[in-house]
Amino acid sequence: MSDPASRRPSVPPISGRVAIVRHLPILETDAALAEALRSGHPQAPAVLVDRYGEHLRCVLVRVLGKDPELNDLLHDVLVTAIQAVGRLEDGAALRGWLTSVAVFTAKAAIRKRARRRLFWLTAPEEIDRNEAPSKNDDTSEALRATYAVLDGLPADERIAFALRFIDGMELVDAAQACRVSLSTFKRRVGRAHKKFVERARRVPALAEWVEGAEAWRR
Amino acid sequence: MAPLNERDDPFASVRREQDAWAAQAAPLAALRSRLEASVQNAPRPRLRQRFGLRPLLAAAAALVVVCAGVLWLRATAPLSFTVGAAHDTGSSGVWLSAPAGDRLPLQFSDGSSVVLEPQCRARVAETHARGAQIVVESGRVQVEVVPRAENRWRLSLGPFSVQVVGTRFGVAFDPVTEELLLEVQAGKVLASGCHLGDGRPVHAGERMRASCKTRRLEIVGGDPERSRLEATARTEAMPETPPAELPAPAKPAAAGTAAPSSVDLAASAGVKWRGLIARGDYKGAFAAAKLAGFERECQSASSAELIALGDAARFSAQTAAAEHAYLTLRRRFPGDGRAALAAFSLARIAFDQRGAHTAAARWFETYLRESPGGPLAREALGRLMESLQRSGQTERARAVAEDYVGRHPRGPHAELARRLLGE
Repeated sequence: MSDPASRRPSVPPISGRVAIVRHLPILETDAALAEALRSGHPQAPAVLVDRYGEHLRCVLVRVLGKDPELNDLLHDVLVTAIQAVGRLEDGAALRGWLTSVAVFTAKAAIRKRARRRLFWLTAPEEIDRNEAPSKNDDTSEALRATYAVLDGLPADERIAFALRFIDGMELVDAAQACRVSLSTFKRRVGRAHKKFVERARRVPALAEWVEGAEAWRR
Repeated sequence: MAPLNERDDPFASVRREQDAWAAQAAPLAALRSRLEASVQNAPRPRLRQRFGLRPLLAAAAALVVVCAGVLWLRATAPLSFTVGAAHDTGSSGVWLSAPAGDRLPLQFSDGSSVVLEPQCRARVAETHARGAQIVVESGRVQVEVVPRAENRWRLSLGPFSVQVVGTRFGVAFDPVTEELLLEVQAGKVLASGCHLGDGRPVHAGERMRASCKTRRLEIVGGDPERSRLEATARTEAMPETPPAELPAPAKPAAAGTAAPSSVDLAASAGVKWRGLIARGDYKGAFAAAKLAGFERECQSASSAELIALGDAARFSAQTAAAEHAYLTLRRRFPGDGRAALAAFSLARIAFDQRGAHTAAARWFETYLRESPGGPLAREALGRLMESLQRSGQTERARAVAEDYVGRHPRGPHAELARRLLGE
C-alpha cells in the first residue's frame, strides 16, 4: 500500500535563508501517531485512515462477512479509537489496540443483531445480505455458506474462527485482539473449529471444500 | 492447531473476494473525508451532570427489570425439596429409602409433601416449576399435593403412572408382582400404564388395585353409582378373576434379636428363599439364597425365579449379585421373555446404582429391541433418552426424544423430551 503519510512535503526555499524541512513526527511511528491523536492534531485522523484503514476494514469484513453496514462500522471504529486513544498506555501498541477496537465493534454489531432477531425474524440490517451470486459462483456460494455457518456460532467463537482461519492471524495477535489469554483463545478457536467442521460437512457448498483442505486436519 | 499455508488454505478465495468487495463497499478516500468532518464537528466532551435525570431514570428502569426478573424467576424456578426431619436439601435423581421402622418425609417448596413409608425406595427424578416427577421403585408413599393451577405432578411406579393435580392419596407398588394399590383420600388422580391405557381416573374414597402381570383391575369404594358404571365397563374389558392380594410387607426384626429366618434357612435355604420372596422379605430371601449357595441357585433356578432372585439381591443393595442373577438368566434362557426384563433391570442398575449411563443406554436399547411392545417399553424409551442425555450423546437423545413424544405425548418423560427438542 502506498503510504501518503510517508511522503515528505516539499517546501520551497525562502530567498536568503536556508530552508529547514521538519518532518511531522506523526508520519513516522505509531507512538507519535497515538500522541497526535490524543492531542487533537488536525492531520492525525487522515494519517490514521491511511495507515490502518485497510487493516481495520479487513478485520471487520473477516468477522462479519459482506456486511451492508461495513462503511458505517469502519467509521465507528475510527471514531471510537480517536475518542478512546487517551486510554492507550503504550502508543507503540497502536495497531493491536486498533484491531481489538474493530473486533469489539464487530462483536457489538453481532450481538445487537442477535437481540433484534428476538423480535424480528430478520434483523433490519440483514435484509439485503442475501445478494445475488457474482460471476465467480463457486467462491460466492462458499462465502455465503461460510458465513451462514458462522452465523450459528456464539459471537466469541465466530470471531476467533474468523481471525484465525479466515484472516490467518497469528494466535498471539488474535488473542490480543480479543483481549483474552492465549490459552482461552486456543480453547475458543478449538471449539469454533470443531463446530464449524461438523456443520460445514452438512452444507453441500462446503463439505468437499472443507474435507479437502489440509488446514482442517489437526 | 495446524498452521495455515497458502497451498491448502481453504479461505484464500474467500479473502480475495471479500477484499475486492470491501474496497468498493468502503473506499478509504471517502472514509477519510467523512472522518475528518466527524472529528471537526464532534462536540467537546462535556462534564457529566452529577444529578441529572438520566441516572435516576436508568436506576428506575434497572429496578423494574430486577423486580420483573425476580418475579419471573420465582414463577419459573423448579421446586426444591428437603429430605427427612432434619430438612436436608434434596437432589433430583438420588435414590432415597425409608428405614425399616420409620418414614422418610420429602417436603417441597410449594408446600406439597411426599412421605416414603418404611422400606419404600423412591427418587425424585426431576422437579420443575409446577411439580415433580417421582419414581417409586417399591413400597408405599403418602402424597399430598397443594392444588395450584397448571400443576404437573407425576409418580412412576414400574409400568404404572399416576398423574396428580391437587390431592391427597397413598400409593404402593410391588415390583415382583407388578401390583399397584392406590387409595385416594381427597381430590382425583389419573392412573395410567400397562392395561390401564392412557388414563383411568380414581376419585376420593376409591381404592384401586391393578396388576400388570395378571392384568387385573379392581376399584372399590367412592360414589356407588360411578363404581357401578365403571364395574360394568370393566366387566366388558377384563377377565373375571379374583384380584390377588398385595404381598404383606416384611416385618422388621426386633432390636437385639437375630433375624428369625436366618436360623431356619440353614436346613432348607434353597427352598426357603423362594417363599421369602413371595412374602416380600427380600433381605431374608437373599440371605437364604446365599446360604444355599447363590451361584448354585442361579444355575438351578427357573427364569422367573432368576428374575425374583435378582430383584431380591437388588432390593438388598447387593448390586453385583443382582447383575449376576440377571446375566445368568440371559445366558441360560436367551429366548425367554424374561430375558428382556433382565435387560431392563440391568439397565436400571447401571443407571441408578453405578451411574454408568452409556451401559444403561445399551441395556435399555436391548430391552426395546427384544420386547418392543412390552409393558416397560414406555419407561425404557424414556430412560434410554435420559441415559443418552446424561452420557453426552445429545444428538441420539434428541432422536429418541422425538420418537418418545410421537408415541407417548403425555408420558412421564414427555416434558424432558420436549425440553431436549427445544419445544
